[in-house]
Amino acid sequence: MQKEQQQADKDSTDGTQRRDFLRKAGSYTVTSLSGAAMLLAKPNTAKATTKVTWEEHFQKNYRLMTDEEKQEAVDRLETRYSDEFGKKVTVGDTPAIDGVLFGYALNIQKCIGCRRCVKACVAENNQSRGNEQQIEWIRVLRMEKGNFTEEDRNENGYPEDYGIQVGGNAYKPVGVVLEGQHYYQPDKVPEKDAFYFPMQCMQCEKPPCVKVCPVRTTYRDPDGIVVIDYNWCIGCRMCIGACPYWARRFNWGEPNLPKEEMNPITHYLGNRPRMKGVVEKCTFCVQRTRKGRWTACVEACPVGARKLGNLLDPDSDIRKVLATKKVFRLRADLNTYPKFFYYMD
Amino acid sequence: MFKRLKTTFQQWLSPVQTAADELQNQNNEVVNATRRSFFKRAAIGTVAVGGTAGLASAVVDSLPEPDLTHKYRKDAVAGEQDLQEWEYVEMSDQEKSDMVQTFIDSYSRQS
Repeated sequence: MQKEQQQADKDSTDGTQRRDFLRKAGSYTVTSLSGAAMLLAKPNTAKATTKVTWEEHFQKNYRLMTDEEKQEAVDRLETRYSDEFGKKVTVGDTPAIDGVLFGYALNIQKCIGCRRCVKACVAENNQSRGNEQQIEWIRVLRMEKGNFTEEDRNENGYPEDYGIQVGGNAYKPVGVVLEGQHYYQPDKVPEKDAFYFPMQCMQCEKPPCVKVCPVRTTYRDPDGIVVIDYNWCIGCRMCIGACPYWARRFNWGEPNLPKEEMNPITHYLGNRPRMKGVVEKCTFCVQRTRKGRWTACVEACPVGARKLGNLLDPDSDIRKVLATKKVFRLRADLNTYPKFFYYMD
Repeated sequence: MFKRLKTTFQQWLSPVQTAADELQNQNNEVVNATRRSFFKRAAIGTVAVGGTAGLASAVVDSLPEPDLTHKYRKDAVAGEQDLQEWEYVEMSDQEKSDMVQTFIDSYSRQS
Protein backbone atom coordinates (compact mmCIF):
# COMPACT_ATOMS: atom_id res chain seq x y z
CA MET A 1 0.00 0.00 0.00
CA GLN A 2 2.80 2.32 0.99
CA LYS A 3 4.71 1.35 -2.16
CA GLU A 4 1.72 2.16 -4.36
CA GLN A 5 1.42 5.54 -2.73
CA GLN A 6 5.10 6.22 -3.31
CA GLN A 7 4.77 5.16 -6.95
CA ALA A 8 1.79 7.46 -7.41
CA ASP A 9 3.70 10.35 -5.86
CA LYS A 10 6.63 9.64 -8.16
CA ASP A 11 4.36 9.54 -11.23
CA SER A 12 2.79 12.77 -10.15
CA THR A 13 6.20 14.39 -9.77
CA ASP A 14 7.26 13.12 -13.20
CA GLY A 15 4.08 14.49 -14.73
CA THR A 16 4.67 17.89 -13.25
CA GLN A 17 8.24 17.91 -14.44
CA ARG A 18 7.21 16.89 -17.96
CA ARG A 19 4.55 19.56 -18.05
CA ASP A 20 7.00 22.14 -16.80
CA PHE A 21 9.52 21.05 -19.34
CA LEU A 22 7.03 21.25 -22.20
CA ARG A 23 5.77 24.59 -21.04
CA LYS A 24 9.24 26.04 -20.81
CA ALA A 25 10.25 24.54 -24.13
CA GLY A 26 7.14 26.04 -25.73
CA SER A 27 7.83 29.45 -24.25
CA TYR A 28 11.43 29.42 -25.37
CA THR A 29 10.45 28.27 -28.86
CA VAL A 30 7.86 31.03 -29.23
CA THR A 31 10.26 33.60 -27.89
CA SER A 32 13.05 32.48 -30.20
CA LEU A 33 10.77 32.41 -33.23
CA SER A 34 9.38 35.78 -32.31
CA GLY A 35 12.80 37.28 -31.98
CA ALA A 36 13.83 35.85 -35.31
CA ALA A 37 10.67 37.12 -36.93
CA MET A 38 11.19 40.59 -35.52
CA LEU A 39 14.66 40.61 -36.95
CA LEU A 40 13.37 39.43 -40.31
CA ALA A 41 10.49 41.88 -40.47
CA LYS A 42 11.97 44.83 -42.30
CA PRO A 43 10.02 48.08 -42.51
CA ASN A 44 8.72 48.95 -45.94
CA THR A 45 10.07 52.43 -46.35
CA ALA A 46 8.64 52.85 -49.82
CA LYS A 47 5.11 53.32 -48.53
CA ALA A 48 3.83 56.87 -48.72
CA THR A 49 2.04 56.39 -45.44
CA THR A 50 5.20 55.54 -43.51
CA LYS A 51 5.61 59.08 -42.30
CA VAL A 52 1.99 59.68 -41.36
CA THR A 53 1.97 61.25 -37.94
CA TRP A 54 -0.28 60.40 -35.03
CA GLU A 55 -2.05 63.73 -35.43
CA GLU A 56 -2.78 63.12 -39.10
CA HIS A 57 -4.00 59.61 -38.47
CA PHE A 58 -6.52 60.78 -35.92
CA GLN A 59 -7.54 64.09 -37.41
CA LYS A 60 -11.19 65.07 -37.79
CA ASN A 61 -13.31 64.90 -40.88
CA TYR A 62 -12.35 67.94 -42.94
CA ARG A 63 -15.83 69.39 -42.85
CA LEU A 64 -15.88 69.35 -39.05
CA MET A 65 -12.50 71.02 -38.62
CA THR A 66 -12.15 74.56 -37.40
CA ASP A 67 -10.08 76.96 -39.48
CA GLU A 68 -7.12 76.42 -37.15
CA GLU A 69 -7.40 72.65 -37.44
CA LYS A 70 -7.62 72.89 -41.22
CA GLN A 71 -4.48 74.99 -41.26
CA GLU A 72 -2.69 72.48 -39.03
CA ALA A 73 -3.76 69.61 -41.29
CA VAL A 74 -2.56 71.47 -44.37
CA ASP A 75 0.77 72.31 -42.72
CA ARG A 76 1.29 68.68 -41.72
CA LEU A 77 0.61 67.49 -45.25
CA GLU A 78 2.86 70.10 -46.83
CA THR A 79 5.71 69.04 -44.57
CA ARG A 80 5.16 65.34 -45.25
CA TYR A 81 4.72 65.66 -49.02
CA SER A 82 7.71 68.00 -49.35
CA ASP A 83 9.78 65.46 -47.46
CA GLU A 84 8.51 62.50 -49.47
CA PHE A 85 8.77 64.03 -52.91
CA GLY A 86 11.90 66.08 -52.36
CA LYS A 87 10.39 69.37 -53.52
CA LYS A 88 8.31 72.18 -52.10
CA VAL A 89 4.69 70.97 -52.17
CA THR A 90 1.78 73.27 -51.42
CA VAL A 91 -1.60 71.98 -50.25
CA GLY A 92 -4.36 74.51 -50.84
CA ASP A 93 -7.66 74.63 -49.01
CA THR A 94 -9.39 77.28 -51.12
CA PRO A 95 -13.12 77.09 -50.42
CA ALA A 96 -15.90 77.27 -53.01
CA ILE A 97 -16.36 80.66 -54.62
CA ASP A 98 -19.62 82.40 -53.74
CA GLY A 99 -22.12 82.64 -56.57
CA VAL A 100 -20.50 79.90 -58.64
CA LEU A 101 -22.01 76.55 -59.59
CA PHE A 102 -19.75 74.71 -61.98
CA GLY A 103 -21.13 73.04 -65.08
CA TYR A 104 -19.34 71.30 -67.91
CA ALA A 105 -20.23 70.70 -71.53
CA LEU A 106 -18.49 68.53 -74.09
CA ASN A 107 -19.00 68.71 -77.83
CA ILE A 108 -19.04 65.12 -79.03
CA GLN A 109 -18.96 66.28 -82.64
CA LYS A 110 -15.65 67.97 -82.11
CA CYS A 111 -13.90 65.39 -79.95
CA ILE A 112 -11.29 63.52 -82.00
CA GLY A 113 -10.46 60.89 -79.39
CA CYS A 114 -6.83 61.91 -79.05
CA ARG A 115 -6.86 61.34 -75.28
CA ARG A 116 -4.79 64.44 -74.61
CA CYS A 117 -7.30 65.34 -71.92
CA VAL A 118 -6.65 61.99 -70.23
CA LYS A 119 -2.90 62.55 -70.17
CA ALA A 120 -3.24 66.14 -68.98
CA CYS A 121 -5.59 65.02 -66.22
CA VAL A 122 -3.20 62.30 -65.06
CA ALA A 123 -0.29 64.75 -64.93
CA GLU A 124 -2.24 67.55 -63.25
CA ASN A 125 -4.00 65.44 -60.68
CA ASN A 126 -1.15 63.19 -59.54
CA GLN A 127 -2.86 59.98 -60.59
CA SER A 128 -1.14 56.64 -60.25
CA ARG A 129 0.62 55.68 -63.47
CA GLY A 130 2.34 52.73 -65.05
CA ASN A 131 1.02 49.58 -66.63
CA GLU A 132 0.38 47.81 -63.38
CA GLN A 133 -1.70 50.33 -61.46
CA GLN A 134 -2.91 52.92 -63.86
CA ILE A 135 -5.69 55.23 -62.77
CA GLU A 136 -7.38 57.59 -65.20
CA TRP A 137 -10.22 59.80 -64.15
CA ILE A 138 -11.28 60.38 -67.76
CA ARG A 139 -12.33 57.45 -69.89
CA VAL A 140 -12.77 57.93 -73.65
CA LEU A 141 -15.16 55.56 -75.36
CA ARG A 142 -15.03 54.97 -79.10
CA MET A 143 -18.43 54.45 -80.71
CA GLU A 144 -19.98 53.93 -84.10
CA LYS A 145 -21.78 56.94 -85.48
CA GLY A 146 -25.55 56.84 -85.21
CA ASN A 147 -28.66 58.96 -85.16
CA PHE A 148 -30.34 60.24 -82.06
CA THR A 149 -33.06 62.83 -82.19
CA GLU A 150 -35.80 64.09 -80.00
CA GLU A 151 -38.32 63.04 -82.66
CA ASP A 152 -37.14 59.46 -82.41
CA ARG A 153 -37.76 59.48 -78.75
CA ASN A 154 -41.18 61.09 -79.00
CA GLU A 155 -42.37 58.99 -81.93
CA ASN A 156 -40.81 55.66 -81.15
CA GLY A 157 -39.92 55.96 -77.55
CA TYR A 158 -42.74 53.99 -75.96
CA PRO A 159 -43.86 50.43 -76.40
CA GLU A 160 -47.12 49.90 -78.27
CA ASP A 161 -48.94 48.38 -75.36
CA TYR A 162 -48.84 50.66 -72.39
CA GLY A 163 -48.54 48.88 -69.07
CA ILE A 164 -46.49 46.01 -70.38
CA GLN A 165 -43.14 45.97 -68.73
CA VAL A 166 -40.38 46.09 -71.27
CA GLY A 167 -36.89 45.92 -69.86
CA GLY A 168 -38.24 46.86 -66.50
CA ASN A 169 -39.87 50.13 -67.57
CA ALA A 170 -42.75 50.54 -69.97
CA TYR A 171 -42.03 54.24 -70.38
CA LYS A 172 -38.37 53.95 -71.05
CA PRO A 173 -37.43 56.48 -73.74
CA VAL A 174 -35.55 55.23 -76.70
CA GLY A 175 -32.01 56.45 -77.07
CA VAL A 176 -28.67 55.32 -78.30
CA VAL A 177 -27.05 52.53 -76.41
CA LEU A 178 -23.40 53.09 -75.69
CA GLU A 179 -21.50 50.25 -77.25
CA GLY A 180 -18.10 51.72 -76.96
CA GLN A 181 -14.57 50.51 -76.77
CA HIS A 182 -12.59 51.78 -73.89
CA TYR A 183 -9.09 50.74 -74.92
CA TYR A 184 -9.14 51.52 -78.62
CA GLN A 185 -5.79 51.59 -80.39
CA PRO A 186 -6.18 53.15 -83.85
CA ASP A 187 -3.27 54.19 -86.01
CA LYS A 188 -4.61 57.70 -86.04
CA VAL A 189 -7.62 59.64 -84.83
CA PRO A 190 -10.29 60.60 -85.65
CA GLU A 191 -11.40 57.42 -87.37
CA LYS A 192 -14.00 57.35 -90.09
CA ASP A 193 -17.50 56.45 -88.90
CA ALA A 194 -16.54 56.71 -85.27
CA PHE A 195 -17.09 59.28 -82.64
CA TYR A 196 -15.65 59.56 -79.19
CA PHE A 197 -17.32 59.87 -75.88
CA PRO A 198 -15.12 61.06 -73.00
CA MET A 199 -16.55 60.30 -69.60
CA GLN A 200 -15.65 61.46 -66.12
CA CYS A 201 -17.35 62.42 -62.88
CA MET A 202 -20.61 64.18 -63.71
CA GLN A 203 -20.61 66.16 -60.42
CA CYS A 204 -24.25 65.22 -59.90
CA GLU A 205 -26.48 67.67 -58.14
CA LYS A 206 -27.97 64.69 -56.29
CA PRO A 207 -24.97 62.39 -56.10
CA PRO A 208 -25.73 58.79 -55.14
CA CYS A 209 -22.10 58.28 -54.10
CA VAL A 210 -22.52 60.87 -51.36
CA LYS A 211 -25.67 59.20 -50.08
CA VAL A 212 -24.03 55.83 -49.58
CA CYS A 213 -20.75 56.92 -47.99
CA PRO A 214 -20.84 55.44 -44.46
CA VAL A 215 -18.27 57.88 -43.06
CA ARG A 216 -19.39 60.95 -44.99
CA THR A 217 -15.97 61.47 -46.39
CA THR A 218 -17.34 62.38 -49.78
CA TYR A 219 -19.69 65.30 -50.07
CA ARG A 220 -20.89 67.99 -52.40
CA ASP A 221 -19.39 71.44 -51.94
CA PRO A 222 -21.49 74.59 -52.53
CA ASP A 223 -19.96 75.11 -55.99
CA GLY A 224 -21.38 71.75 -57.03
CA ILE A 225 -18.13 69.80 -56.97
CA VAL A 226 -18.27 66.44 -55.23
CA VAL A 227 -15.07 66.09 -53.22
CA ILE A 228 -13.40 63.45 -51.06
CA ASP A 229 -11.48 63.82 -47.80
CA TYR A 230 -8.97 61.05 -48.48
CA ASN A 231 -7.92 60.86 -44.85
CA TRP A 232 -11.37 59.71 -43.84
CA CYS A 233 -11.99 57.29 -46.69
CA ILE A 234 -12.16 53.73 -45.35
CA GLY A 235 -11.99 52.12 -48.79
CA CYS A 236 -15.34 50.35 -48.53
CA ARG A 237 -16.02 51.02 -52.26
CA MET A 238 -19.70 51.71 -51.59
CA CYS A 239 -19.46 54.90 -53.63
CA ILE A 240 -17.97 52.99 -56.55
CA GLY A 241 -20.95 50.68 -56.54
CA ALA A 242 -23.39 53.56 -56.24
CA CYS A 243 -21.97 55.75 -59.01
CA PRO A 244 -24.02 55.12 -62.15
CA TYR A 245 -21.35 56.72 -64.33
CA TRP A 246 -18.49 54.55 -63.14
CA ALA A 247 -16.44 57.65 -62.44
CA ARG A 248 -14.66 56.60 -59.27
CA ARG A 249 -11.37 54.78 -59.07
CA PHE A 250 -9.89 52.73 -56.26
CA ASN A 251 -6.24 52.53 -55.24
CA TRP A 252 -5.69 48.79 -54.91
CA GLY A 253 -2.01 49.33 -54.25
CA GLU A 254 0.29 52.14 -53.25
CA PRO A 255 -0.10 54.70 -56.05
CA ASN A 256 2.86 54.87 -58.37
CA LEU A 257 3.69 58.57 -58.56
CA PRO A 258 7.28 59.29 -59.58
CA LYS A 259 8.82 62.16 -57.63
CA GLU A 260 9.92 64.04 -60.71
CA GLU A 261 6.44 63.87 -62.26
CA MET A 262 4.53 64.95 -59.17
CA ASN A 263 2.57 68.19 -59.50
CA PRO A 264 3.48 70.15 -56.36
CA ILE A 265 0.54 72.54 -56.50
CA THR A 266 -2.23 70.61 -54.84
CA HIS A 267 -5.52 70.99 -53.03
CA TYR A 268 -6.56 69.13 -49.88
CA LEU A 269 -9.78 67.93 -51.51
CA GLY A 270 -8.32 67.48 -54.96
CA ASN A 271 -5.04 66.39 -56.43
CA ARG A 272 -2.87 65.85 -53.36
CA PRO A 273 -1.17 62.44 -53.40
CA ARG A 274 -3.51 59.64 -52.38
CA MET A 275 -2.71 56.49 -50.44
CA LYS A 276 -3.49 52.82 -50.86
CA GLY A 277 -7.07 51.87 -50.13
CA VAL A 278 -8.82 55.14 -50.93
CA VAL A 279 -11.16 56.18 -53.69
CA GLU A 280 -10.54 59.09 -56.02
CA LYS A 281 -12.22 60.84 -58.94
CA CYS A 282 -12.42 63.99 -61.05
CA THR A 283 -12.88 67.20 -59.06
CA PHE A 284 -13.05 69.62 -62.01
CA CYS A 285 -9.43 70.44 -61.04
CA VAL A 286 -10.55 72.08 -57.83
CA GLN A 287 -7.01 73.37 -57.26
CA ARG A 288 -7.32 75.37 -60.47
CA THR A 289 -10.98 76.26 -60.88
CA ARG A 290 -11.34 77.77 -57.42
CA LYS A 291 -8.59 80.17 -58.41
CA GLY A 292 -10.29 81.15 -61.65
CA ARG A 293 -8.33 78.86 -63.97
CA TRP A 294 -9.56 76.32 -66.50
CA THR A 295 -9.36 72.63 -65.80
CA ALA A 296 -6.38 70.76 -67.24
CA CYS A 297 -8.61 68.90 -69.73
CA VAL A 298 -10.15 72.12 -71.02
CA GLU A 299 -6.68 73.59 -71.53
CA ALA A 300 -5.33 70.47 -73.20
CA CYS A 301 -8.17 69.85 -75.66
CA PRO A 302 -6.74 70.71 -79.11
CA VAL A 303 -10.16 71.17 -80.73
CA GLY A 304 -11.96 73.20 -78.06
CA ALA A 305 -14.54 70.51 -77.43
CA ARG A 306 -14.68 71.14 -73.70
CA LYS A 307 -16.46 74.03 -71.98
CA LEU A 308 -16.52 74.87 -68.29
CA GLY A 309 -18.64 77.61 -66.82
CA ASN A 310 -20.87 78.96 -64.12
CA LEU A 311 -24.39 77.62 -64.36
CA LEU A 312 -25.67 80.58 -62.37
CA ASP A 313 -24.33 83.08 -64.89
CA PRO A 314 -26.64 83.49 -67.92
CA ASP A 315 -23.73 84.80 -70.01
CA SER A 316 -21.41 81.87 -69.32
CA ASP A 317 -20.34 79.41 -72.00
CA ILE A 318 -22.17 76.57 -70.36
CA ARG A 319 -25.48 78.45 -70.24
CA LYS A 320 -25.09 79.45 -73.87
CA VAL A 321 -24.51 75.85 -74.82
CA LEU A 322 -27.57 74.75 -72.89
CA ALA A 323 -29.65 77.46 -74.51
CA THR A 324 -28.60 77.00 -78.10
CA LYS A 325 -27.25 73.49 -78.70
CA LYS A 326 -28.57 69.96 -78.87
CA VAL A 327 -27.82 68.67 -75.44
CA PHE A 328 -27.75 65.07 -74.23
CA ARG A 329 -27.83 63.57 -70.82
CA LEU A 330 -26.65 60.18 -69.67
CA ARG A 331 -28.95 58.07 -67.57
CA ALA A 332 -31.52 60.81 -67.24
CA ASP A 333 -33.87 58.24 -65.73
CA LEU A 334 -31.84 58.15 -62.53
CA ASN A 335 -32.57 61.77 -61.64
CA THR A 336 -29.08 62.39 -60.37
CA TYR A 337 -29.03 65.75 -62.19
CA PRO A 338 -25.54 65.52 -63.62
CA LYS A 339 -23.85 68.86 -64.30
CA PHE A 340 -21.85 67.40 -67.16
CA PHE A 341 -23.57 67.72 -70.53
CA TYR A 342 -22.84 66.39 -74.00
CA TYR A 343 -23.81 68.53 -76.92
CA MET A 344 -23.73 68.88 -80.70
CA ASP A 345 -23.67 71.98 -82.87
CA MET B 1 21.79 46.54 37.50
CA PHE B 2 20.05 48.17 34.57
CA LYS B 3 22.25 46.30 32.10
CA ARG B 4 21.42 42.97 33.66
CA LEU B 5 17.76 43.68 33.60
CA LYS B 6 17.94 44.57 29.91
CA THR B 7 19.74 41.33 29.07
CA THR B 8 17.18 39.28 30.95
CA PHE B 9 14.35 41.00 29.16
CA GLN B 10 15.99 40.40 25.79
CA GLN B 11 16.45 36.74 26.63
CA TRP B 12 12.81 36.48 27.62
CA LEU B 13 11.74 38.24 24.41
CA SER B 14 14.06 36.48 21.97
CA PRO B 15 11.80 33.52 21.02
CA VAL B 16 9.02 35.91 20.06
CA GLN B 17 11.38 38.10 18.06
CA THR B 18 12.84 35.15 16.21
CA ALA B 19 9.42 33.91 15.22
CA ALA B 20 8.44 37.37 14.02
CA ASP B 21 11.63 37.73 12.01
CA GLU B 22 11.11 34.36 10.41
CA LEU B 23 7.58 35.25 9.45
CA GLN B 24 8.75 38.57 8.01
CA ASN B 25 11.45 36.82 5.97
CA GLN B 26 8.98 34.30 4.63
CA ASN B 27 6.61 37.07 3.60
CA ASN B 28 9.43 38.94 1.87
CA GLU B 29 10.40 35.84 -0.05
CA VAL B 30 6.82 35.26 -1.15
CA VAL B 31 6.50 38.88 -2.23
CA ASN B 32 9.82 38.79 -4.03
CA ALA B 33 8.96 35.52 -5.73
CA THR B 34 5.55 36.84 -6.84
CA ARG B 35 7.00 40.06 -8.19
CA ARG B 36 9.79 38.25 -9.98
CA SER B 37 7.41 35.83 -11.65
CA PHE B 38 5.13 38.68 -12.64
CA PHE B 39 7.97 40.54 -14.34
CA LYS B 40 9.15 37.34 -15.93
CA ARG B 41 5.74 36.60 -17.34
CA ALA B 42 5.26 40.18 -18.45
CA ALA B 43 8.59 40.16 -20.27
CA ILE B 44 7.88 36.84 -21.97
CA GLY B 45 4.37 38.01 -22.88
CA THR B 46 5.64 41.26 -24.37
CA VAL B 47 8.26 39.51 -26.43
CA ALA B 48 5.76 36.87 -27.53
CA VAL B 49 3.13 39.40 -28.60
CA GLY B 50 5.64 41.63 -30.35
CA GLY B 51 7.25 38.64 -31.93
CA THR B 52 3.95 37.25 -33.13
CA ALA B 53 3.21 40.57 -34.78
CA GLY B 54 6.65 40.54 -36.32
CA LEU B 55 6.15 36.97 -37.46
CA ALA B 56 2.82 37.84 -39.03
CA SER B 57 4.38 40.84 -40.73
CA ALA B 58 7.25 38.71 -42.02
CA VAL B 59 4.84 36.09 -43.35
CA VAL B 60 2.66 38.70 -45.03
CA ASP B 61 5.69 40.41 -46.55
CA SER B 62 6.99 37.13 -47.87
CA LEU B 63 3.71 36.36 -49.66
CA PRO B 64 3.72 37.00 -53.40
CA GLU B 65 2.46 40.45 -54.39
CA PRO B 66 -1.20 40.48 -55.49
CA ASP B 67 -1.85 40.94 -59.16
CA LEU B 68 -2.69 44.62 -59.11
CA THR B 69 -3.01 44.83 -62.87
CA HIS B 70 -5.83 42.33 -62.72
CA LYS B 71 -7.62 44.28 -60.01
CA TYR B 72 -7.33 47.65 -61.74
CA ARG B 73 -8.34 46.09 -65.04
CA LYS B 74 -11.26 44.30 -63.45
CA ASP B 75 -12.62 47.63 -62.24
CA ALA B 76 -12.29 49.13 -65.70
CA VAL B 77 -13.85 46.17 -67.50
CA ALA B 78 -16.77 46.01 -65.11
CA GLY B 79 -17.31 49.70 -65.75
CA GLU B 80 -17.17 49.17 -69.46
CA GLN B 81 -19.81 46.47 -69.31
CA ASP B 82 -21.96 48.81 -67.29
CA LEU B 83 -21.51 51.62 -69.78
CA GLN B 84 -22.63 49.43 -72.65
CA GLU B 85 -26.08 49.22 -71.16
CA TRP B 86 -26.60 52.95 -71.03
CA GLU B 87 -28.63 55.21 -73.15
CA TYR B 88 -28.34 58.88 -73.77
CA VAL B 89 -31.23 61.02 -74.86
CA GLU B 90 -31.56 64.48 -76.24
CA MET B 91 -33.05 67.06 -73.92
CA SER B 92 -35.92 69.17 -75.10
CA ASP B 93 -35.77 72.94 -74.62
CA GLN B 94 -38.24 72.65 -71.79
CA GLU B 95 -36.15 70.01 -70.08
CA LYS B 96 -33.04 72.13 -70.42
CA SER B 97 -34.61 75.24 -68.97
CA ASP B 98 -36.23 73.23 -66.18
CA MET B 99 -32.92 71.68 -65.29
CA VAL B 100 -31.11 75.02 -65.18
CA GLN B 101 -33.89 76.41 -63.03
CA THR B 102 -33.56 73.42 -60.71
CA PHE B 103 -29.86 74.15 -60.31
CA ILE B 104 -30.48 77.83 -59.61
CA ASP B 105 -33.24 77.10 -57.10
CA SER B 106 -31.14 74.49 -55.37
CA TYR B 107 -28.24 76.89 -55.06
CA SER B 108 -30.48 79.65 -53.73
CA ARG B 109 -31.90 77.33 -51.09
CA GLN B 110 -28.47 76.36 -49.89
CA SER B 111 -27.00 79.85 -49.72
